[in-house]
Amino acid sequence: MGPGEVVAYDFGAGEDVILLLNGGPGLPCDYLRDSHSCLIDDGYRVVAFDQLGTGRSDRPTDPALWTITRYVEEVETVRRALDLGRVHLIGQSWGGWLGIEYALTHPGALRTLVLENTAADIPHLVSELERLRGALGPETVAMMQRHEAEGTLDHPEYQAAITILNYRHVCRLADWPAPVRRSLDDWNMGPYEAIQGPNEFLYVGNLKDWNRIPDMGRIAVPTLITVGQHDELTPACALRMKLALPDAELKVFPNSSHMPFFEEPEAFFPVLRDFLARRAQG
Amino acid sequence: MSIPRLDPTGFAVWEERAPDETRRIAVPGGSVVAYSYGDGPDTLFLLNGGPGLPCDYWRDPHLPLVAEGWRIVVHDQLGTGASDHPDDPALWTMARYVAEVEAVLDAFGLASVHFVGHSWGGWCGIEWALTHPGRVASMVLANTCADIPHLLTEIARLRDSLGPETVAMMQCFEAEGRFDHPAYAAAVRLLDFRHIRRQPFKPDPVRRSHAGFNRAIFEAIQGPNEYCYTGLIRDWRRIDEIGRFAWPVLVATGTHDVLTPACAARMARAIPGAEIVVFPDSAHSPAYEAPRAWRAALGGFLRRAAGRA
Repeated sequence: MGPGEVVAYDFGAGEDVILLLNGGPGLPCDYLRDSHSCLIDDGYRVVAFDQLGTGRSDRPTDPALWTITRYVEEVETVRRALDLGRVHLIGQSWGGWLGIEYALTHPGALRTLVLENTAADIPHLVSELERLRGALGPETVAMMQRHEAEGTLDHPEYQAAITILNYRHVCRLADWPAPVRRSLDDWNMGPYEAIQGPNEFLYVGNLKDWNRIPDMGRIAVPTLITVGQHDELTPACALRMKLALPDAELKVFPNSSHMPFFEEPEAFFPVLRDFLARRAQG
Repeated sequence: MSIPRLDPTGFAVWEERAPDETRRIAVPGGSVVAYSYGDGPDTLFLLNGGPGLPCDYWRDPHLPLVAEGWRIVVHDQLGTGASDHPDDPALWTMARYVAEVEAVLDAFGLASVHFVGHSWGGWCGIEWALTHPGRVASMVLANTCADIPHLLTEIARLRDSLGPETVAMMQCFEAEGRFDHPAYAAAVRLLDFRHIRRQPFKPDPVRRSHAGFNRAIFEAIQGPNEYCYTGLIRDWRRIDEIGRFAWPVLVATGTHDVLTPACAARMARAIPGAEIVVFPDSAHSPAYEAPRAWRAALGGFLRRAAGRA
């Protein structure tokens, strides 16, 4: 494709294809690929790819590349290049935003849609993040707002608050799994800051006003929404999506935040497998 | 030669100055290095906090007082700075540090001093004054307390302001002894910026003291950080004895001090005639956070105590 090439990873074989869209943006796919590639045991072909700018894919630096519209075309290019046909699309976090946008742009390309730990209404999400930050107490919030206003986001005091929130709302495991570490350690902050913002709790990028709730009624394929009770993209965000979709199921994992597939795999995968088995024939 | 370190208003927050006399002094467990500045008739004996910090951070902001005619004596407590660094954990007790103070005063032949102690230096100073009252001319008890069990209830209140989930997280890691976990360390860092020193930068004497931090001493006596007391001091309480103090006392605290104004108020109420000063925008380090106000309060008290007013 135009601005560069991406590297895709193909596991298993068969007609039933699961295409994984990981979060970030700017993260290599390791954490979602390594946790979900086990679905080959159920007879699925599983495909993941490092989105442009990450992992083993090309890393152009033109900031004009970092738009959700271009990423949608990247997904379509991968699907056609690998001749995947109609896919079960699993999007996690930013991958969910991308999956929603893709489903609206290429409705014929999907069999089912799985929206993991994501949201369709960023302004609503931002109000939820305010609530999560508020749990650190008014002095902490005032401190964070001061650093955000002054642009001193690398101050250790500000970063300390982010660290506490990350272990609470991104991954609640005391020791983060190796695939998560690999993805996070190779984070390309270019697309992340352009699209989302400087951290998980401050949305100032080009997606800050994105809201597809009014359009989601057009997504006709069966959809599974999963969310952790402590998810930074909260159960309230998940509920909004469910209410907007014509054919959606919603499952909340009580001991998880943003990564139930690592935090509560014994509860998570049966739900995902059951949904795919029931709805795969669409 | 002395080099004053000025703040933007031209005030000398601290001074770098060569000692007029340096002594190596035998104390229980090894030898310590002590420094004497100036030669006035009235001696300020400084005892810094930690425990486990070299004296730089507490010495340097008081060296400008030498030019006002005070003699200053201060030392690196055993295990820190230029003093010996033995590694016998049995040495890290309050009683040994009190004996160390006596040894330093004996070596300089000081019959009586104005004691200026900070934080742990205040605890040690209280213990010293109760056991050697004849040597005390006056006392400044800065950012300290006399009742650790009460302090722990205050610290619990400060931790609570981070929200119940944060407190639960801290308690879990404390129970497991995982004080180096990033989330736990982050909570401690937040509290440090709020309750230790409310400054975006680290003044040079503070940097030097931190660079020489002997963590083993701190952990043996206090604990892993300022908000978790697991060491020998955790039950220490002298609030019922300090009513015997029969000399001028200044209690100093900051509004946001980790050793809170409630701790300071308890001390001031327990000591007959004690004065108290609260620095409104300070935490645990008013000598750096409010240097002019600190020096004015300290100087005023010392001049009255020494009859120089």
